[in-house]
Amino acid sequence: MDQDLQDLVAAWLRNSDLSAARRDELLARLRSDNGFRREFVEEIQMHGYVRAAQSAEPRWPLLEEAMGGHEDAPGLEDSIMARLAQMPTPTRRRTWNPWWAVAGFAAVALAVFVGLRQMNDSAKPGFLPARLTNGAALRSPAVAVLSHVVEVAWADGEQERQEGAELPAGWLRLALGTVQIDLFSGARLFVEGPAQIELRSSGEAFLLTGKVACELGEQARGFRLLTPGLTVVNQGNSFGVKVSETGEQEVHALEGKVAIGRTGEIGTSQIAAKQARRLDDTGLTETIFRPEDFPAMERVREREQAEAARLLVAWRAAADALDGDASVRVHFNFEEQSPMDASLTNRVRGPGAGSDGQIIGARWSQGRWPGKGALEFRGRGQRVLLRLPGAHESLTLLAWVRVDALPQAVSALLMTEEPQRWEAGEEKKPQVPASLDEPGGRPLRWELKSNGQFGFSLLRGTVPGKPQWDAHLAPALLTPERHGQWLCLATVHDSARGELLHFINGVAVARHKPPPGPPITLTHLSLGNLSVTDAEARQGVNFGFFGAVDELVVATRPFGAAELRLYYEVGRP
Amino acid sequence: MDHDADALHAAIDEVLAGHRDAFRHIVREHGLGVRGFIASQLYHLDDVDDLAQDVFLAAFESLGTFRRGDDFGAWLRGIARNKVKMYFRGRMRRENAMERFRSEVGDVVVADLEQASELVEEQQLARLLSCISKLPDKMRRIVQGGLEGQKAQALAEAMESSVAVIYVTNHRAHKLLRECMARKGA
Repeated sequence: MDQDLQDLVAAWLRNSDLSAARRDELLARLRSDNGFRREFVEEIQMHGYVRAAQSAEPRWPLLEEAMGGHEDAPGLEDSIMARLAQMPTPTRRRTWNPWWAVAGFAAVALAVFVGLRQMNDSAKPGFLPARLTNGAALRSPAVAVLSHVVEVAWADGEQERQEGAELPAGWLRLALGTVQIDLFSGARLFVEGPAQIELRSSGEAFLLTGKVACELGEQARGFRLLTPGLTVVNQGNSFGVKVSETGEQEVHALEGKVAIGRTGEIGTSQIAAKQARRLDDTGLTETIFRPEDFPAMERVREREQAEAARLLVAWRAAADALDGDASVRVHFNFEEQSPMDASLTNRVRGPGAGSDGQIIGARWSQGRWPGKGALEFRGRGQRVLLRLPGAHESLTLLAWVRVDALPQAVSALLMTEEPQRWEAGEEKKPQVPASLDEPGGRPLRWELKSNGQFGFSLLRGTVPGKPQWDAHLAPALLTPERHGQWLCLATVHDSARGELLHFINGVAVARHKPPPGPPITLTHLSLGNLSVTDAEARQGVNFGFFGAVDELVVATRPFGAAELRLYYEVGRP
Repeated sequence: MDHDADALHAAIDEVLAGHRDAFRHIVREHGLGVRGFIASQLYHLDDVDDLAQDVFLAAFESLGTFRRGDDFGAWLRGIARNKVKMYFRGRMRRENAMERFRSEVGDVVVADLEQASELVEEQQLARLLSCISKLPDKMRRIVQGGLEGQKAQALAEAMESSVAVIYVTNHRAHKLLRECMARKGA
């Protein structure tokens, strides 16, 4: 048994403490070594099953050895049934849930595994989880933006939403953490989970349970927050409201006056700044003013910064482990570079080391977290050039990108600059090889379409003067509501299995069976743009990408779905 | 999980029609799988059972959203995953570095754990106890005893062995159990 495995299992089972350095070491190996991770998972999985099976019947050793039978947790079943008695009967809901339409890409395992199970030989419509496909068509107008998301776990059945997402009218159910919602009326809500809140319009919200602090500027005067028993109307700068699971409610005037009305009654009462009221069976009574009970912008920012720092450290460890993978030929992590740098450092330690990218025009900016670098592309001219020797049968491309706009038919993520297109002294015209058996292999195009599709194309050959591409597209998921968000895009070309898969945020979204062909060349690659021919220029063709990239991985082996999922999880902002 | 899909769908229909007692069938069929999945990640068995209950209650509430034809076991594990995540997050602020380490390890392996769980059928789990009873004496004693907390040291002392040997033996026992569970009629 591997010493690392033994140490990790012992630590997992609380049988030993580890130094900080040893913990980092084991985490790094766990992230980078698939075989090690699999062995550890098998170990703890069996351990869990054994514990569960034994605890289901405490006398099992005697009974089992005597009878060889199995009995499953009567205690669990009875206690669940007793608790169910107090719950309403569930009702069948429509398969399509409007919340899914506005949600970010699901990072839940259910989507991944159900999706993978439903995969067929092409990106047929049934393959995608409904929640990913119906988004654009069923979108309602937004009333707010989810400006900040801090240490959040969404409630069961609630789709995960990403920071920056537009929110239409409807429910938000938060199990843990804090979110900042900026309504278009100018009202700013800090909601602390567990909470259930319904945004009814840009000027009104309904708090069923949980805590909300409302900060309101002049424009938001008249904003109303309703609860099951109260209507709270802004007359000052900020107020806090909490509704407990048992229905107790409190209103605290954090800054300025607040008007409170009782549901079903005429008239309102006012409370002055730094006062609080509590609603119970006897009505509204004075209670102690406790501003610290409510989420405040400063505390949210502090926690947000702490969380961002923690995530950045975790991602750095995983990224560093990736650099030691011999199949990874390019890893641009955009770290430790000066805004003046004109080259992009390739971090890999194996083959490919030293093949840095040449930055042309693109500007340095902030990546997924404060302190993380990125390059911003603004469509015209900007690109990063890189050259890698050789041609490869299989390939994994992964990039963390922020798509700001898709204004042209095709935007380049990573494309082969085909030098054969530009014969010296000739007019620019496509001159791709007539035969793909020529040395050098097939050029590639990893691209984004204006309708929100992303795809991977391989050059098949030419008919006179015209290149012919085999295009393998994912469904149109990079729609405008996802613009401005950091997304993890990945494409895996697995020649041994004869398949090509596209992933968004660790979720497989399309599978294709590309026809077999020669290896793929990585010799002349361009990130974020591609030179156009004279003919293309005359037609106004432009491949420039509008957005930012803060990580790029090019590997010459097919990454597995679990591996991509893991890398997404550790890198999600 | 290879369950009788018709029986499962019938049970779901019954529950949705108001016959909540049919939910027993679902708990019975999936109880061990859900508890095993959670027990792989949590230390305290009381917490495992509390979380398993919460998973089934959440599943009951959301049963109407389950799509016929989807993998019910994967659906339950999706709920369980969220519960475990919330459990760790709730504890993280007040726990020490080792606890945070375990939480991070949990984050790294949970996708693999779900994938591995998908490959284990309920019938295989039902054979687990029988398989344990067939282990050689020393292995069975270790597997039965468990290695959590100080148990590994206690076992090592009782068996006049070293902790390292206990871990290796347990590791081999798990491999044998996996093979045994995969054999029908075990």
